[in-house]
Amino acid sequence: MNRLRIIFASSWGAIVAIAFVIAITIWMEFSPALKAWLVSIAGHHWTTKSILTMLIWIIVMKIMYFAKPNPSDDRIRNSLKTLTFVAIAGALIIFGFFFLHYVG
Amino acid sequence: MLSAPVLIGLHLGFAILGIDAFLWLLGESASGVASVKRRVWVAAIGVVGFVFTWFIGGYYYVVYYGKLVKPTILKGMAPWAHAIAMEAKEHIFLFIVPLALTALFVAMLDNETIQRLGLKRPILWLVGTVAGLGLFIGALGFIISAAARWGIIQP
Repeated sequence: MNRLRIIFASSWGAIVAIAFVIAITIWMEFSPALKAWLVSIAGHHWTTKSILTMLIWIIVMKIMYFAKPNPSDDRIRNSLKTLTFVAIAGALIIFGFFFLHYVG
Repeated sequence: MLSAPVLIGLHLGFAILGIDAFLWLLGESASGVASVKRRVWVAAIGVVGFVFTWFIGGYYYVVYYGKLVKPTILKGMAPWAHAIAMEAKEHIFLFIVPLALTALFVAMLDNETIQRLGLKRPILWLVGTVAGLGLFIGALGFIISAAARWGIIQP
């Protein structure tokens, strides 16, 4: 196992998975049809979101692992920085969304 | 019904294990300790803690929370605890496992590689973010529990 390659791939898998959580969370609040579809898959919207999040992480990680066999040092460093930024921004976006959704 | 408090206890216990392990990993990464084996063990303990708290907390949330706790909070003094804290908590938590698994892979790097690639600062930020988000989610959990207690007490 090439550790740097898997770190790069896992970072991008997590970035896309987090972006998916942000998007589907906000979208679902405005779309009862989407919520009903998520419920129909695993019995609860959150369970389906959990499964899809991990599936997206695994699939994107696999794609990036094979698509970028030799990521440069810069790309590896930037993937970790981007992941951290997306995680912090994502948490603020989700918290801010539900705050404004409630008070607005 | 009787299993609900046990599930909450286990959910909290494994969350604390995960958060503490990542705080420990943050210290290991900051000090530049040479033992890769120890970093990997600490990160693995953190990942296991977060995975268990996810499954146990998720089961509690799906089976009990919506039927028993949510109505109590919504009738109580702080309905925002569900609308803001719980909604944010259940979704931000979904970030944690992919982040923690990435941190586990990072923990496998030796110090020479970390220095050569200039990864020390990005690693500290990543590991600190996992621990920080875990603590933030824990604080949201406290708000939800407090709101449920006050929901029972208040008419």
